[in-house]
Amino acid sequence: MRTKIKFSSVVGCLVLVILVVPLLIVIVTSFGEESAISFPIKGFTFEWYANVFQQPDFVEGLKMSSIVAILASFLALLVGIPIVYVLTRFDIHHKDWFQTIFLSPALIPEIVIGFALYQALVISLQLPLFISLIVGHFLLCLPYVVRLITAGMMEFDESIEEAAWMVGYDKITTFFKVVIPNIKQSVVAAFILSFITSFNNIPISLFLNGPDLNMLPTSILNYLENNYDPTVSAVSVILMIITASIMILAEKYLGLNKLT
Amino acid sequence: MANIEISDLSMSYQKGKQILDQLSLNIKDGELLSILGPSGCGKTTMLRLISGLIPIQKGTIKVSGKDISKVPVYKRNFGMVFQSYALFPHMTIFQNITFGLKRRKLDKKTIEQKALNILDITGLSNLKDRMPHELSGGQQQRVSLARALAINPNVLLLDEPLSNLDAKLRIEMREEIHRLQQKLDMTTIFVTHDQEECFAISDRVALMNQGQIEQLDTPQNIYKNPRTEFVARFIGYENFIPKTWAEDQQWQFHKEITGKLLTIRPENIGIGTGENTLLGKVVSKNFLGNYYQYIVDTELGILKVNTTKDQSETNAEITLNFPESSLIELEDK
Repeated sequence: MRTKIKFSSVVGCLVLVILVVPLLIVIVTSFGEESAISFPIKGFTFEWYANVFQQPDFVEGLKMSSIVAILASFLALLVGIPIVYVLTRFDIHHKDWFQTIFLSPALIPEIVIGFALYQALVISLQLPLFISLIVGHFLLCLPYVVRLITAGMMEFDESIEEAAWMVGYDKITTFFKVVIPNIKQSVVAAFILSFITSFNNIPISLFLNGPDLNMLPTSILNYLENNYDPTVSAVSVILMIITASIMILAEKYLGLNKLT
Repeated sequence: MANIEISDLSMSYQKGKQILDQLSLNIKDGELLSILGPSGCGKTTMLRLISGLIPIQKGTIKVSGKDISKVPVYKRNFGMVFQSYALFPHMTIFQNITFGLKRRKLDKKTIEQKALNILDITGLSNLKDRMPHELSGGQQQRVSLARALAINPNVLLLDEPLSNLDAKLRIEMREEIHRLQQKLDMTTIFVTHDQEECFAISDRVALMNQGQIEQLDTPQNIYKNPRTEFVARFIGYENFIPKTWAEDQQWQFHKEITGKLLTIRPENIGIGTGENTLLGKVVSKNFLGNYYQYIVDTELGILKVNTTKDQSETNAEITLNFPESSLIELEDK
């Protein structure tokens, strides 16, 4: 028993080190004065952080990534919640079938989804890039919504809905007045997870970006191809801060266990 | 207040399993009727059909003469208490109780007054600002009852309301249900699998088996005169005697019903000679507080005999007698 605890704590520490040390190095390099990323650093400056905000690609990318993440997450909730409600509360044929279909985007390699959407929506149907991008990110988010809301609905006793019908509320009003308030945590958790997934996505955005459509992660990738200065470290730190603050907020209001 | 007429109610699921089979039942105004039966007998399905939570496939349900078969659940104005309490977790007790009232065209003051009144008669006034999760099971079920009564329902439906409570609370709560039902003179249907709690408070009991009513009677009559072997076994009869065998022995009993079995309660079998005797051997003797139970091996198999006096020992030969007046004839089903 004791050796087991020792073993798992050693592995745990190792994972933490492998995970955290590179991140720490990125953070440190973002303050270096030299124009190429190097470690250990010489001098100390905030110049690269200032530079992040002078790069239109980064600023626009941050804006676009946020807009897309918010829209796609909302859309996924709007479509996902009713789907889950029907799947968990109604007796329909081939239920597991549908379940698999709605979870399938998570099983298909994202790069394939990106390419397929590019072919279908942009080339064949000539849809605007922005719409295609939203569709792509919506597909990315849907499985998270379906999974988290399903878990929330499973925990929610069906009799509570029935009790609302019994005292005089029709099914739709009951859905908004009783079901939604009680799965609120799952809804918020699904939104946060969707947002982060969309915000950090590269493969889908890579296929569906264009001259006026730069997402932050793809912008970073583009920037790296031509420059290797600590601006990339700085923007990575900013990304980390954004993601971490969302997680901390989620932890504070929901408890992180809801997210996994 | 309302009476309920159920006629020819049938229900089956897709796989062809018949849950209810042409069931008819009348419930009188102000009556407390229990539906008693083992799990899977269709009692919960029946309650859910009456409530409107599941649609009627065949048959009709009339309340005060009006067919409600097509009326949606939220317009039926029935109160329901669920086994799992089913309180609205995001509302206070007060909000739980006023939720239904708010749906009705009442002004704020009337709603508050009605709610306070219901809280008062259910003894919940001091809990009104709490959240459901802060309450014990018994308190939650009390709130559930109050919520059902708050809308002034035509009919009160109780779906195994006591089965999640511990033994002591169960008795307390069933008395409470009975008291309120009497006070409000509310037509009530009480679904349960527990014969004791059902006998204690019901005006009549419908004992169900495989989608049909086996016997509909007062608790006393069901206890004293079970109609079929199923009813007898369900309410605790354990000694069964084939009628042809009894006739061969020239036993005396009332021959009114054409069936194959006789039954008798363990406490009605006498020890010693008397009318209708049978020899046996005591297999074991158990002291059960108020009485002794003898397990007796006889020609008819194992019989159970309860007696208040310690009359015999293990392995002793024993003569049992079966008084004519205590032998109950059962109908074949």
